[in-house]
Amino acid sequence: MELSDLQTSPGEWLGGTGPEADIVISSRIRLARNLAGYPFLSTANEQQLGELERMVRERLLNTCRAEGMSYFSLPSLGPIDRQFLVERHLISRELASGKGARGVGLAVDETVSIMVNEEDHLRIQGLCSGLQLREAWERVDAVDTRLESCLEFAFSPQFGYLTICPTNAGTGLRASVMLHLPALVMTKQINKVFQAVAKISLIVRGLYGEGTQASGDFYQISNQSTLGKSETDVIELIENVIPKIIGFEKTVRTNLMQQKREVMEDKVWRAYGMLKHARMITSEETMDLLSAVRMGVSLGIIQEVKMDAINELFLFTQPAHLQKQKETQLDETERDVVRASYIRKRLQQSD
Amino acid sequence: MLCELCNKSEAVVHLVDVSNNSRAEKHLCKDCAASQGATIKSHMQKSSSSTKDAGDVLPEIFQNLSATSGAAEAEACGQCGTTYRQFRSSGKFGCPECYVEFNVKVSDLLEKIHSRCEHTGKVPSTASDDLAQQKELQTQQKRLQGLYADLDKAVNDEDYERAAELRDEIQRMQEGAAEA
Ligand SMILES: [Zn+2]
Ligand SMILES: [Zn+2]
Repeated sequence: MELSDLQTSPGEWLGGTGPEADIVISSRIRLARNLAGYPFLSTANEQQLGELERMVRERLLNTCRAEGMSYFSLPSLGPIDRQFLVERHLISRELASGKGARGVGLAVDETVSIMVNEEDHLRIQGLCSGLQLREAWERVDAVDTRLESCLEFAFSPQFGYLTICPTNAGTGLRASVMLHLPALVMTKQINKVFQAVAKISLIVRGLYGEGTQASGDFYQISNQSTLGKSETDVIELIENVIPKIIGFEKTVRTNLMQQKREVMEDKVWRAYGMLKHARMITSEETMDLLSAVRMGVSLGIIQEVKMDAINELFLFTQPAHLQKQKETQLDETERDVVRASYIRKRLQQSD
Repeated sequence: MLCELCNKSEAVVHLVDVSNNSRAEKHLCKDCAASQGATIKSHMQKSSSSTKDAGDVLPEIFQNLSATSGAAEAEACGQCGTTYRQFRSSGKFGCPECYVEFNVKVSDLLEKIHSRCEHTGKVPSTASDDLAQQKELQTQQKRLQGLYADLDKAVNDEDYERAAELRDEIQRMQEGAAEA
């Protein structure tokens, strides 16, 4: 598989087909694993890192044939390709900007990716569309089980899987669900979600923006602790709280539609009009406008565009995706022009 | 690899200095590294990693941990040479053995982070055999203790027939354990 093969499709997780897909974008599971007998990345030397990467890569390609695994070594990829993988949530920013021997194994449908030499020796990640944490866990669990037949992971009966940071020790599992909550943001009630979720030791963070102020009304909810609860307990905890947040967002949307219908319709149609006619548009503005349109599609205010088209636009309008489409490097202003033209074309098609 | 300084002990501290766009490597044994006051600076260390996952909570926890004695702080992992002080300042262990080397402190720390300190999740299939074996050993140990207690009681009660039975049983168990 070549990276350019990925470019034309949005990846299974953005298909908008999973359960509760109008509010839940995706479900993600990641496992941290380290090899026994090797130092962690904090103290490993260059030779050990190289050795480790070669070994994991070989075992990965041999044992994960069923997933159609491909492997990409990060130092051999250019900056646009690295950013491309970050935008698709297949690798972290840290892996993209790191140094030394490191890489990523990708399943052909992009539902599983394995980062090598990120913070831990291995980070196995599963990504599914909509609310499907269990499905993501099953995929990751299967890959992990196959890998442990040929790699010895650092493990202690008392502390579980041993990780470089004690915050990940135990299961090494981080389960997260990405939510689209524009109505709660509009009515300034998103803080209630933060507070409720913090009480049961889950974390909320904004998705695309830097820091805590997320742009585009997207929030990610994940577990904080990794020790003392089994993988399925953690998943259950999150699975139980998500429907409540979905219900909250939906109730607020319904109230808004009853009490401020014109305001809602105006917000959605203005956003749609801007996207359809703008000649230059930044990625932040795109995110905000797409968020409003996405809510409009979900509420039936706009019927001429489909949800999957909007989901794709979120991905395809990001910098590396634009540059890969154009097969050339673009500066910020050029990107704003190309982005606007791409969005116009896509929205015209769906008329 | 031998230590660059003393040429006697095995080098366990590998320093990589990447300042000024050049790389300088140093390989030292535990003692020489400690006497040099060396701080391990891996080229893979990332300043941004504290902002992701639950890493945010760690500095606070470290601040709230009562300072341990200087000796305990300087204690180094026999495998990788990372001291507890280094771990406290970076929030990162040096190798899997650090968990064993700093066991008591690690238990406390993990309990502060996760509110628990016992793993209850997935166990690698390779490790689960060992675990089952350990459990088996523990139950045997308990049974053996019970038998010895019964034996003491039988001897005290001058029930020598019962005592002989118990002695035989203990012998059988110990032979069985030796074979396994
Ligand atoms: Zn020395
Ligand atoms: Zn160590």
